[in-house]
Amino acid sequence: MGLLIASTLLDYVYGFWVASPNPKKAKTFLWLSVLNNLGILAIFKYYNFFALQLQQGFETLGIQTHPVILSIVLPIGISFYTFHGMSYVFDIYRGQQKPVKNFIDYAVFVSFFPLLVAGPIERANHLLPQVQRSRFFNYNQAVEGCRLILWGFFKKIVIADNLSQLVDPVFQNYKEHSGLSLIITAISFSIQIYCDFSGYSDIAIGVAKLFGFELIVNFKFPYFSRSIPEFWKRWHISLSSWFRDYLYFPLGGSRVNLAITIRNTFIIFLVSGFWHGANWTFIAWGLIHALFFIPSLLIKNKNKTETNSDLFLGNSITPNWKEFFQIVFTFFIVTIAWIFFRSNTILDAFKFIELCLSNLTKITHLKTNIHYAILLKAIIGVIVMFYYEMIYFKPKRKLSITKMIILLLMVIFMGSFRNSVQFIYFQF
Amino acid sequence: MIIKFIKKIFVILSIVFIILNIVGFFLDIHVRNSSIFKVNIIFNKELAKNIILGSSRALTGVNTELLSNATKRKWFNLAMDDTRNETHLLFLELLNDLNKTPDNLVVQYDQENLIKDTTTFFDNDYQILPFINSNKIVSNYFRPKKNYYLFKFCPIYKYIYFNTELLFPSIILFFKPNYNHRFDIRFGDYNYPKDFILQKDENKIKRKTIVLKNKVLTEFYKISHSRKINLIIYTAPIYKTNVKLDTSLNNYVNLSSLFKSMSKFGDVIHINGRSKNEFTDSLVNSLSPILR
Repeated sequence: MGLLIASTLLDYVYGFWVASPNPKKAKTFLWLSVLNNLGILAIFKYYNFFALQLQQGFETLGIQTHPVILSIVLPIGISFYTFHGMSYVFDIYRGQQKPVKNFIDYAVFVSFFPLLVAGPIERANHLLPQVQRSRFFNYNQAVEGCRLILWGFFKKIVIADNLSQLVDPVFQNYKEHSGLSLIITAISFSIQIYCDFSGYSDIAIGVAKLFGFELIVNFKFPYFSRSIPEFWKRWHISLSSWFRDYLYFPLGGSRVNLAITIRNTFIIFLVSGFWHGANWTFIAWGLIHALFFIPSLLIKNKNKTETNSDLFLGNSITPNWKEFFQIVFTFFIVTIAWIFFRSNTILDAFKFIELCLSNLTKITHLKTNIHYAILLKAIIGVIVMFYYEMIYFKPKRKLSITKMIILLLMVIFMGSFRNSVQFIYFQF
Repeated sequence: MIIKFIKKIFVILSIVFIILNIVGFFLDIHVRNSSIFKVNIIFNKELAKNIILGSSRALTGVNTELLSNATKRKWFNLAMDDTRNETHLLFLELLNDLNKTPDNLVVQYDQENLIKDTTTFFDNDYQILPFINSNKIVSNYFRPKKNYYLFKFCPIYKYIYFNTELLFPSIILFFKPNYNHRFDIRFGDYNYPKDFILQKDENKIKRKTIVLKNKVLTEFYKISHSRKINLIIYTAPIYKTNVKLDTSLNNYVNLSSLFKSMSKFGDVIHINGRSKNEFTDSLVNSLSPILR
């Protein structure tokens, strides 16, 4: 809490300094603000990781070191509120936002409770004006909020939490399972993390609507992406667009030569991986995405066709064969990357993938009727999710009260209440 | 507008809550009147005069038909997987309350009962929940206190909290009224799959000795003494483990070190189907002189 207050106060003050008409002074304070925010992250999130890496590095050279290891719990939401603060200072520096005089308004922007712990990462120029203006209760907006909250709970409790009961034990003891079980588990984790994270985002956006706020849409059916670049226009949009606007574009983006564009892409994905946590597995996850992003950069350079991620598979509700295979291939790459994301070490991830190719005839992780019942609940949940997201998230189609009650009953009777698990992104 | 919104939410949730609890009330009756769980058998059936209580090690380790034939007595295996002696004691209390106490009671007893926190749920305790608001004994002796009042006064809550374990089987009951959850209706046994064979590296399993001490056992002796039940305690085989008691007990049968070979086990604490009859023979030999 103290850290949140300190971080909020500092960025609030930096906001005024960065707004200075003297460009040199503004730039100096901008860098100080960046150092300040990254410093907080470096100490509380990454210090122990680097200390241990250095220790291991020295050990390989035969030098024994005893670094000081901080016994601190990672402050909840640190990655999210520091990015809120940075977004505010950046926007002021670019002239897109004026410093906010009322500290309470600014503090609400940084620590607005629905998005404090797991986003979406809001932009100052999007959320702050909403904080500053008067809001009135809007019945339709509140109903829409309830619908999103319910939908978020469905994805989290019915799909993600049920799947976690099947996924977690396998990742803990992956060497004891058949290849077929490992493949099923990897696919299950892809679905689990989507439902877990997008479920939280839906709940956060829904709660914000109850208070009259409109937040950034964070997911747009990412597993229907036909390529990795399209995936990143649909997955954790608030983070990817944050990196795009505040890191990728300042580095030159794709308006420079191909070599620098590729370098910029790698930087973005490395930073994105590292943002998730201080572990090589996250960096490997980012690298895989970067590697599969590059071919599209090469092709895109020749053929500048843009994918419209606002639409679900163009104007059609079902993909054509080409799109279908593109979707399957993209999902395959994303799933491979998730194996790295979920594994304890990179070696575990490689071993996991290697074992996926052995014993493809036997399922070893579904041992009891309870496991099958859990799987059945998750499968029903996934079918409902596809149906719901494909049909009812189309513009101007709303769920009726009857369908909302059916959804509520499904949450009640199919949710994993006994074995509920924390949101995955709370740890970041 | 805001009042209209809150009113609508409140009305919808209230209606859903009331309807769900009416459904829960009837589900309780539906489940109680079935033979789905062992606890239903205690309430609804006439039981044999010789009963086995225990966890999965008694449920899957004893061939009760063979035991019945060898001892010339009708036995029923009331053991349940993923339970502890506290649950078994509750069963004895129920039998006592219903005047269904047996002549001979064999209780399987081992370290599984010592390592779990008794204030929380054990995996299969939910099976008692449909009886919680209809039976005084279950109410009084129900061990896990977490969510106790919700389970007792909100009938649907148990079917929500344990939807996989309780709701799904109760739905199956509509289609298969004689459905039993993991036991044979005649003797109460259950068999694990045929390929249930211990496959760990033998050297990775260390030889050890466990000293048992469990105050629950005193309660078993108290009830047994007052109802003149011939109580026999036994410990089932555990791979590479020797079980000792901290105090001496009457009618105690220690078969913990009966099998040395890995091939007799499904995992470290369960014997497999192949050695079930061999174990039952040994149990018969130990029980025969002390049975009433």
